[in-house]
Amino acid sequence: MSAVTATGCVSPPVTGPDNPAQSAAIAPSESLMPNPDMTALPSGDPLSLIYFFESKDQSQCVDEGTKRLQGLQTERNRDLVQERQAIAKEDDAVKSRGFWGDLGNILGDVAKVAGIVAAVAVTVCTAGSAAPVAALAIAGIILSSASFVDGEFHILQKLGVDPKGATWVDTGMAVVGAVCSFGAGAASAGGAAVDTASAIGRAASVASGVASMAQGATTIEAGKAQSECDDASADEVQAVAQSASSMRFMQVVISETESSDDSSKQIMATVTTTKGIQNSTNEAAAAAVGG
Amino acid sequence: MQSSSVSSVNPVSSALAASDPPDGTMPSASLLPEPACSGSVAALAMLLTELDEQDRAGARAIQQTTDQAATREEDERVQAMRQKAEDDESQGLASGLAGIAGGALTVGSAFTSAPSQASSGINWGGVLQSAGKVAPDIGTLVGAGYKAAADRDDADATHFEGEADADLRRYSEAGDDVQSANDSLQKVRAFLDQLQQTENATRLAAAGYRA
Repeated sequence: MSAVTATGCVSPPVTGPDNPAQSAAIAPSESLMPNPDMTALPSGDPLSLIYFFESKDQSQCVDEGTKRLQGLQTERNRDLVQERQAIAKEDDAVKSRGFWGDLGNILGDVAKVAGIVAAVAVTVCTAGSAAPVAALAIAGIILSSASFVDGEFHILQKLGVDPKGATWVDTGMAVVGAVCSFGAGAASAGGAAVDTASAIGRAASVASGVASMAQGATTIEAGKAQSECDDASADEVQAVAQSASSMRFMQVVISETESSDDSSKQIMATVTTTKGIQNSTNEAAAAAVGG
Repeated sequence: MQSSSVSSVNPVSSALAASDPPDGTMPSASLLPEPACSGSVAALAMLLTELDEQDRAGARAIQQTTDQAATREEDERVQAMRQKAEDDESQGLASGLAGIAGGALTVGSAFTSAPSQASSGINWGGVLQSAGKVAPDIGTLVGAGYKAAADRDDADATHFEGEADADLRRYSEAGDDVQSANDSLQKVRAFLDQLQQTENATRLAAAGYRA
């Protein structure tokens, strides 16, 4: 039993050409064990060599399996990071979609109310010759308000306009709004013939149109947010699928490594037992020969 | 999706098992001597081992196939989801652009003077107003096409998800088969070891008796 150690080191064989006395005492034909195929190995005790190689093989298998598992765990960690990023991205996209959706709904209501007002005004107004004084005034208010709102919420930047361009647009809207308000005031002060109903109708039309345009912009932005949300969901699904695939791969590697390890252990146990029996047989044979 | 998959797993087999032929037959030139427990029991054990190894190889092949199928279907699912994202964006773009166009036409109508009663000219204000009302509806119509495409993509994604789940269930079942085959192999090996030890012990005892 001492011929083989657990670490795979091989001690000198009990029998063999180095021990001529015992070799002479026990002829090969008298051994209870079948003759090993000595041509299969270069030299030494075959069982010990098998044990040695099996031990090395077991160690290599475990090492290889460990390396694979470490690599797969790294991949899984990366997938988990991607999954977290995708979830965060999806969360942001959902918030953005909600914001643009709410804003679009408000603008849609504004456009509808203004459209109704315009329609009523057009109905009331029979002559369409009124000067668009009120429209000018409303346009001035809207442009000024739009400039203020964009300055606060940076809507244009969210729509893809670069910050410098957005600043110029804000400034332009503020200036044009001021000019419109000034022009409306001047026209009123000039005593121009203003049909009130027509003016209100035009102003309402402008308000409705501007609100519709803004609603269109918010619809585009909401669609973009929805698209980002879908993309983030796809990224999440992809990361989860990759992680699951890595996990399946890990399970297979663990299973194969365990199976190989068990097999190696069993083979080594068999070799150890066989070696012990061989030694016992040799002792019994020696005792029988010695009388 | 990734380079590693179950199909790329090389069996981490032992030195002896690595020399086994792929058809599952026992090696002809084994380093170990033939088992001492000859006879019907050994033959039965060999047969059981062969069958278990065949079962295990077959289950592993099923696992590889189902894993590849599941990976492919997950990829297709992701593609369908990305296509849905594109369709959603297109829908928003179509509806939004039409809304902007409608709003611009409505604004334009406010600055267009209506012709006098006696004039036979075109009422451009009315035309623009009407066009402004129609434009969002056209956008909705165009957007509906994209929405339908997005819904189809969603249905495709759900379909691929279901197929991937089914493949993964088959994968799991094949894994159970592999485990069963491994357990059976272990039992046969343990049984053979025990049998051989018993025979050896008997022979040793017999030798001691003769001595």
